[in-house]
Amino acid sequence: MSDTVLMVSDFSPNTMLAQLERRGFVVSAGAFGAVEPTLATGGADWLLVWTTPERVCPSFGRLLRYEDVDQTFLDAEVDEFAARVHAAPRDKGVLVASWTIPAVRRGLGLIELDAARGASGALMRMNLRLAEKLAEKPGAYLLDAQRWMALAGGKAWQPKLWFLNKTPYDVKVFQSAADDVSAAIRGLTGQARKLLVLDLDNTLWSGIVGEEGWENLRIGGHDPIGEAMADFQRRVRSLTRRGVILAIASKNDEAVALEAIRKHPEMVLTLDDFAAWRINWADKAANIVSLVEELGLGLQSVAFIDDQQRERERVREALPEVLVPDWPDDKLVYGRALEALDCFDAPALTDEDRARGGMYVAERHRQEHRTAVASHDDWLAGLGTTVRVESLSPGNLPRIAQLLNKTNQLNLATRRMTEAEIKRWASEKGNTVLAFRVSDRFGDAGLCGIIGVSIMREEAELTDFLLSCRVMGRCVEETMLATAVDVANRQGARVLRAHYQPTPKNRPCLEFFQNASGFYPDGTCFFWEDGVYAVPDCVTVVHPEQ
Amino acid sequence: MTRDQVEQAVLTAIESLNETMPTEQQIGRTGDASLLDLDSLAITNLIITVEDAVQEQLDVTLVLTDERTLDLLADKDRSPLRNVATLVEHVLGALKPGAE
Repeated sequence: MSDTVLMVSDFSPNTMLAQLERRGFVVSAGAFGAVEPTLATGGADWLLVWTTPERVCPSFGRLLRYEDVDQTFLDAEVDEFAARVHAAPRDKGVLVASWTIPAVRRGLGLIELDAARGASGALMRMNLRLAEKLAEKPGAYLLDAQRWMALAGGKAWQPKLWFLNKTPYDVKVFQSAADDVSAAIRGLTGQARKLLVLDLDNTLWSGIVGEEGWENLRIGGHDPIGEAMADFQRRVRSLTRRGVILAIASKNDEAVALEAIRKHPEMVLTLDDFAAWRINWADKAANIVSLVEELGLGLQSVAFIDDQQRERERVREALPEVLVPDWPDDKLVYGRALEALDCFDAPALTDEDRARGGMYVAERHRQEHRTAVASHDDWLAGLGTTVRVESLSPGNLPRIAQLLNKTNQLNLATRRMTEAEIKRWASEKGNTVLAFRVSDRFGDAGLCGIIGVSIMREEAELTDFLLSCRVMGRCVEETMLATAVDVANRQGARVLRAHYQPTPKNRPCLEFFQNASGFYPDGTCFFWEDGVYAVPDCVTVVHPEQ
Repeated sequence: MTRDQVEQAVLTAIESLNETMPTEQQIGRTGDASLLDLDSLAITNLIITVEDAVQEQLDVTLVLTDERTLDLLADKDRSPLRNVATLVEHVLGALKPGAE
């Protein structure tokens, strides 16, 4: 079912609503000009709030007329507007467009950016204050409307359309706005792309390594094409700091391609920037499927960049869930094309996000170690796994919410909750939320697991049991159960019940409870009544709060 | 400028506008394609888009938001937006030297 969007504006919303409808949303708007009443009523999945600054901050209107205005009045009006936004009823979130004024307006000229006197300076300050106020509570996000104006260029402001039909902007502004709203909602609902798969020849470097040799590839140097390729690689690498994982799918001899990556002196990306690769002569669609299976991701997480149109079309046709952007022929604009992608937009940037690429590389090293070791038990023992147990806190709440809302496979009950809902549940008597950070000698996997335990007299319910698939099968599951049993025992419960609730994706969780947990089954429920549940020998548990 | 040039500019504007409209509301590209069912938002967007297209393609300033045109738009029998052909005629007339 499509998400509903209610637009709150002080101008005619129709052009924007049409753009949102084209992108699959069910749209509505409040009465013309009724900003405050529409905010107070709310009532859709998402609110999109887009007003002129002077409409909701009357003191700004006075500044536009060159009157003297005390900044404290502007601050108070911004704060009041932010409070109304936070209080607006909605199911999923509020998106607020930042305030803009026409670029053609020169205002006070030389002193226009003086925040105390010029409207433009004051507006910069107001937008920053609005961003800070909206960030104080979850669920409200500020979108950069200035970018939409800039993308539309000199025609962004349409005074003629304003007087004709109360639409202040050119349709290009609304197209950019609708693109950003769509990207924001995708990011907020866990649909941001996480894996970028790249070709090599004429994508990450200029040239064909198998024909020209790595020495003749154009990367860096005093050469516009080479510089553009190095710049593109830097931008690709910077995506890893947003939590995007990199992989390669290239039709090449693997040894030749890897030699180029290792040896070319201007190569920006290294092998340790890539979580995995498929460099062979096989079909790229098949290789992408193999990559996502190795990395434990879904095809809907993938974006694929290739300079060859036929390869792009092949993957689009074979794997419609994979995002395959059109790619320019001109290498000098590769960087710009990458910057324009909105498929990686996410509502938060946690430490885990920043470290995600490194975690996958560490997993690759871990698996390489596995092939060198005789038995599975020896491998587990050799990992030196440490699990740190944490209570819910403001510091880990965003990551806990992220994990709760996107983990599918090893997830007992698949409860989805917002940060506010998690916090509320954990504060109720008898309820406990614990998070698990996993590391081993190859690296830190970050916060990967969550349990929720609810105690009612002598019975305990394992309300949540979920673990990121990247650490499955390393005895972290058993460690989490041991902790849950310990929580139950300490609070006087004699039995811990885990009720498996099936979804299309969480069968691995059922299989764990059936085959490995030690809990005894009764239908879709599993029980532990035998006192202490032992932590596996291969895991060291740390309780930093004890 | 020629009638063909003006017609081309008008069709470019229609194409540009169609990209923003739902399929069922898109305007045809023939002379007899009706413009009578356009709502007020689409009408105003169309005349602004035609002004822009004429400026870009023919490097002349066209004003379709003058009082005469806006008054004509309100008259169904005399409106220049009865169909694409009448719109082209109106633009040609507005671009004639000495036209008001």
